[in-house]
Amino acid sequence: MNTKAILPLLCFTASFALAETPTPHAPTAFLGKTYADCEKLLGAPVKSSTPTDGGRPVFSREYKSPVPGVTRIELVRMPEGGMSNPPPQTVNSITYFFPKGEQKTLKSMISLLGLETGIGKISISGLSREAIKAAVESGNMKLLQAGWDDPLPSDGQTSRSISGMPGGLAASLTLAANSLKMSPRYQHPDEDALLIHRDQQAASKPGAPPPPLTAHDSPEVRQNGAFGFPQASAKILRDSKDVRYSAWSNPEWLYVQIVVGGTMTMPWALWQAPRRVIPPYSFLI
Amino acid sequence: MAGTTTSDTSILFLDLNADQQDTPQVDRKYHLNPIPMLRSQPPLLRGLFYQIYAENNPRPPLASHSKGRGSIQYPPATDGKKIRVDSFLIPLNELGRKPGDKIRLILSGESVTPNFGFNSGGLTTNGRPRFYTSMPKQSYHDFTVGEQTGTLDPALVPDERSK
Repeated sequence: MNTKAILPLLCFTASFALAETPTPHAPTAFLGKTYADCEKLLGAPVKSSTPTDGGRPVFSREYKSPVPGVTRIELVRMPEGGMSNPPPQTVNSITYFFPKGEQKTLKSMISLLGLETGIGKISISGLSREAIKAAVESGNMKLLQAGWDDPLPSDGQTSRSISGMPGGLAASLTLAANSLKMSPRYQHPDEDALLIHRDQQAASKPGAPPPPLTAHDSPEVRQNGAFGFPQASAKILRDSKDVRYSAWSNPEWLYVQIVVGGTMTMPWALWQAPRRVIPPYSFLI
Repeated sequence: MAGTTTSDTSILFLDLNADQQDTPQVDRKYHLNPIPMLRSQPPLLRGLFYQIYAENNPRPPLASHSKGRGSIQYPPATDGKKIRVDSFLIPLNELGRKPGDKIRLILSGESVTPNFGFNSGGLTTNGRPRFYTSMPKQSYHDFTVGEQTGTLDPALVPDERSK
């Protein structure tokens, strides 16, 4: 039987059935679940990694894929709000690996996973400065976005981020060639990879309660930033013994962070309730 | 004691057209836990506020309706050392900037107890870094918006806006 011929038909059917009946191996079957629960569906892992002293505190397990067209699945428990935080007890990101170049569009890739296609915003990241400039100068910001049916780039110079997917999901695609820019541990030269996680945009309204604080090791906060700050790709404006100032921006946000302390050169022993009273009519501004 | 209660604070100064001038209706200051300037305002403001430079008004009103997020936090440190983290997260469209635009920015802040100031321009008075509410434009940092890689989850940025 020609499985390639019937696969699109199966996927078409799955995408319409999704809203009521998620496929058994859709991302929602794993997100927020423990490894034990996930392994009832996936079986035993073929590979696992756990943190070591001095290593990244990321738990990762890989499985053979029961999904046709997907070579393997990686379930990760990754710290949220900065790598200095402890990892959660449940899976918070899933990566599906596809044979390099086999999926020609995001639509076909998403369909394989039993997710609805055509919903959500697809942004192109990794564009050259010239491409961004051209979009800005022409006033056509849609040049920074892609469509579900657009052919995926064969050169791997750009990647894709998808927000606003059904079920509160978001995703990012890294093609095989694009992965070669990453450190060797994260390269996948023969596979394209789609990482799926919960989309937190809905919870980002002003006034929403802050996430709970977790204990940090202070030098790590200085090194990695806190509260989701992408310190690794941020520009450090100034870095003194006591204070680090950093700025980061993507096409949607400007994020600036100051980290004070983490050293013993400041008189922190006196640090108490951070407030005082200014006499009437005495203005500092 | 009568007076105004305040707390640790910091300011992000933005020269949004990078012209090294105060441009009315363009340049802004974003404040975390701003020190109240008007007696009609609440005695203690918490979270992210902003001011837009206005001609002939050295004290433009504080606006509280930014679509961004921000706060000053004191994460507990496992090693016993003290840390303070000031976070400003601002949508580019609120600033009227697009990816690739060049801006200039600088930061300054103050701790109440112990009392000390700091700023990213390395400016000092009597040999000590201070908290300044106005900063010379030439000390600002150049920055191009929209060009960094990495991912951001805005919900992870604490927001403690005063109501």
